[in-house]
Amino acid sequence: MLNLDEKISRLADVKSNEEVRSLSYAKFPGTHCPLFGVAMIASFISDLAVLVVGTGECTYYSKGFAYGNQAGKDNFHSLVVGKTDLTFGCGKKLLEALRQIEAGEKPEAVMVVTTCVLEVIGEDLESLLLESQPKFSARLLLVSTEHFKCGSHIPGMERALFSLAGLLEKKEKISKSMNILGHRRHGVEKTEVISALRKEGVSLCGIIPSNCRIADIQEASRASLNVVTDFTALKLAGEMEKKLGIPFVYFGRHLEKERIDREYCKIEELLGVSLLPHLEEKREELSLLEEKAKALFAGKSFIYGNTPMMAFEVSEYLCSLGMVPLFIQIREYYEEERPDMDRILARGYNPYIAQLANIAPMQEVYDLLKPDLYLGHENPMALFQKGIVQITADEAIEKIGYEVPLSFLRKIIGVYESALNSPGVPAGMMSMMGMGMPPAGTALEKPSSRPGAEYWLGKLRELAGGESVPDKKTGFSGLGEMPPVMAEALAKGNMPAVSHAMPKGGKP
Amino acid sequence: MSATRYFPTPSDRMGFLWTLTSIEDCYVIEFGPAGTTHFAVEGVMELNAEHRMNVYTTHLSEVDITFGRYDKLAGAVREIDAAHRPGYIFVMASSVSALIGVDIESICLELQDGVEARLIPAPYGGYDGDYNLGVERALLALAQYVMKDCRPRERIYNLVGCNIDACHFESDRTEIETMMEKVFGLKRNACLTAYTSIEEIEKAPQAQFNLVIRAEGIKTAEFMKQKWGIPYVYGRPYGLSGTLSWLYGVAEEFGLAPDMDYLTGQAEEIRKYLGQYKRMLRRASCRDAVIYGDFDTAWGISGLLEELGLSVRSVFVKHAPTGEKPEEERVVFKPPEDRLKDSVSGEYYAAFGDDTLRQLCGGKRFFQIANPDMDRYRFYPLTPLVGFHGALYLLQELMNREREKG
Repeated sequence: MLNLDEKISRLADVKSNEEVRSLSYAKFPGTHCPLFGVAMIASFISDLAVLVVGTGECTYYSKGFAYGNQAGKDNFHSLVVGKTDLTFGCGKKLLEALRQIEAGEKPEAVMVVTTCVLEVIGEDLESLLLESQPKFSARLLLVSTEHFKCGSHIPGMERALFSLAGLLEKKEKISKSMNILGHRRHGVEKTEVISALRKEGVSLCGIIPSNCRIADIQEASRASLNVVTDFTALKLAGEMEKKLGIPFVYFGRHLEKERIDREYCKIEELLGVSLLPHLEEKREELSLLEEKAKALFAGKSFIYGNTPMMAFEVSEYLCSLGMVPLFIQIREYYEEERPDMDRILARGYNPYIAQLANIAPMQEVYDLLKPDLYLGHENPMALFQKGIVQITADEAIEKIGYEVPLSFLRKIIGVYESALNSPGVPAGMMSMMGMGMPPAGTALEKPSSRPGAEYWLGKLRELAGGESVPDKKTGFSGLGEMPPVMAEALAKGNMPAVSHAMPKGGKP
Repeated sequence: MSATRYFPTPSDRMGFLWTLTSIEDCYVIEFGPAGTTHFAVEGVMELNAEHRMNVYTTHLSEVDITFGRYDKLAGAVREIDAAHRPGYIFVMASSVSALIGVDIESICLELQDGVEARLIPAPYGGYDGDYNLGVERALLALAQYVMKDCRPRERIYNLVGCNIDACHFESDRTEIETMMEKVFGLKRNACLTAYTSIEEIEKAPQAQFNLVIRAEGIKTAEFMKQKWGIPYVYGRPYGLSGTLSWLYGVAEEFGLAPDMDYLTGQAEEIRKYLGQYKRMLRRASCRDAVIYGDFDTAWGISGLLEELGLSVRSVFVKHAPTGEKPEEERVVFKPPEDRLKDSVSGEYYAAFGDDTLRQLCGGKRFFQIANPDMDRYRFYPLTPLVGFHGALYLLQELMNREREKG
């Protein structure tokens, strides 16, 4: 029997990263590395050349990610290092590769990304690039991505964003103008904050990294305010303040109304505009939804897995709705989250804390703690069979402002109500895969008058001498709505295969 | 080492993992940064294949690297052994642990007595060669550590070298199995290693003979021949004459009587369309085909294309040779990107390759025969390139292209 108190800490004992322990030595799938974080950022910038220097697998897989993200139009180059390069250094070959890229594509900037093995041998490529910069017309940026010094891909995102400051030069400011930093989805123009600012005549200079070319990044120097929507861009914002005198507001994906109010007030003050009056309706809608959530979720317990928001902020928000935190999985300890951690403690809760991205030993945790809800990505069938309602909140990454808690609440209320109304269907999974209930009145909703596959399977089973009965364990008969490949993978709990079976159009 | 604009050649470590990843009940623990494992798991999806093994990472910290600590690895091995009771655990190095000289073999020896699972050291950091080397090593490791002597021999065969890293692997396997059943009435025993299980591999020595369909399986087949006296033939059947000669080789080597009615029926069907296509081809001003793929696929398809009336000046192979380099001058291993680009920048009839070649030729008259194949699904198991149906399928596709031209 798993003894959690022996393996991991409780919230009250967590004061630093040291106390954030893993449930097991053997982890699956493990966290992503900073190279992945860099690829997430750099693949948004369409004309940025990226040179990944590392092993065959680091270069191949990051290329594959960028290829998928940019529909085959990526600018990722690979410099695969071998034993000789690691013994005698690879500086010369790096410069040769950069010359090759410059001669071929003539990019305005090249981001050189070094991986674990380069950092192990400690070759000083930073000095080499600084010294060689005058020989290149492309601006050379350097980002290191060693995973053995950190616990996730986040430092890679931070460093990649920070490196973009190397493209910025002081320019004349445009009054009442702003940049959005850290937003990683297309369509930022449609977000609540930007719409409200546009109504007030505020112009948008740059959105980094989404919707971005190098010229757009350079144009960002002209803004009079940076709005940081993701904490990974805070270092870039700090550098832009220092170098270009552009102040910034951190407008994270907050859930609590008062925090969002404060962020709006800061923008109002800095730009001399009036935003809150445009947003009264949304505030009211949020209050109504919060009341509904309180009634629905009072006393319900949860395990936090992952969302695009901050772990403790989400957990504290759920506590404010009357829910009980049992177990919170986090990447790392961030001092910025301390106030939310303390607020959870002040409510009298002391949940378990463990490193995320290790789902194998969690299966036993579910039996032990018996939560009502699970927030984040996991094996949907495993959770469903244990009677846990799974809720993912990936949509929140596209939002800024009150629309973050609005979309979050709509999602959790919708999924939970579906789970209550249709106990035989794993509502969280269907919703996560975009396979929710069909629109009313459509052909999908009406059962076909013709006998379907299940009918014929039943008849055939009769012929074969067997019985046609739904799965007794789950009451879920046949995963009929899903493609067979996906159903089989789900039944086996093979999540990579499940996501593989999802429509490719769903790829980022 | 030189920079590449398109996909770099996957490493031996990647090939090793790809070969194991489609085996159910296979346990692998990687001693390295977690991102290495995470990327590898997701990378399998890019191969249009399912990940079925149980792979774990220990993650590595700076302290582990500085002091050469391996307590995380020891802990992970004991944990997996106790929790899952697997028959075998592959203990795998990573690029980082291999670089700092962690001695995976000694660690396995040291830990072996304390666990029930057989520990299989895989001290590969990805510095030794290309993915084909990793495939070769993984197949051999399975024969050395996992296969058990199981007698008596039955009228069944093993398929060695059908792996998920090959584009069309599932369709090709289906076609070979169909042919073996229709022509000789034989069923397959173990498949090394696409969608198989540890149990299936353990019982591989039950088979009467091995069919090795890629060069990377030859060492494994040799090992099985030496140890259990299981004979083998190596080759991959492409085109009508290529398939017939392959079947003849199998029949002769193992003393099998083929079903001639089936063979003549298949041959007639292909000849019917072959003649039609050759007539279509008379109109073509250029008949040069460009090929880029894994060795056995690229070389095999070159024969098929020549049979169809196309000309193949060079056969570009994505990796370094497995074993000795073949004497054929036309076979070019690991051509630089510029050479590949040149091959499709002038006039050519059709290009057969991976996503790199597809991008280089702008998708013009292109046929996918190799991975990476990032933009397509490939779960329908009846579009082979090998065998009679492979020849028919390719003929159909080429004739459709001719018809589209008008």
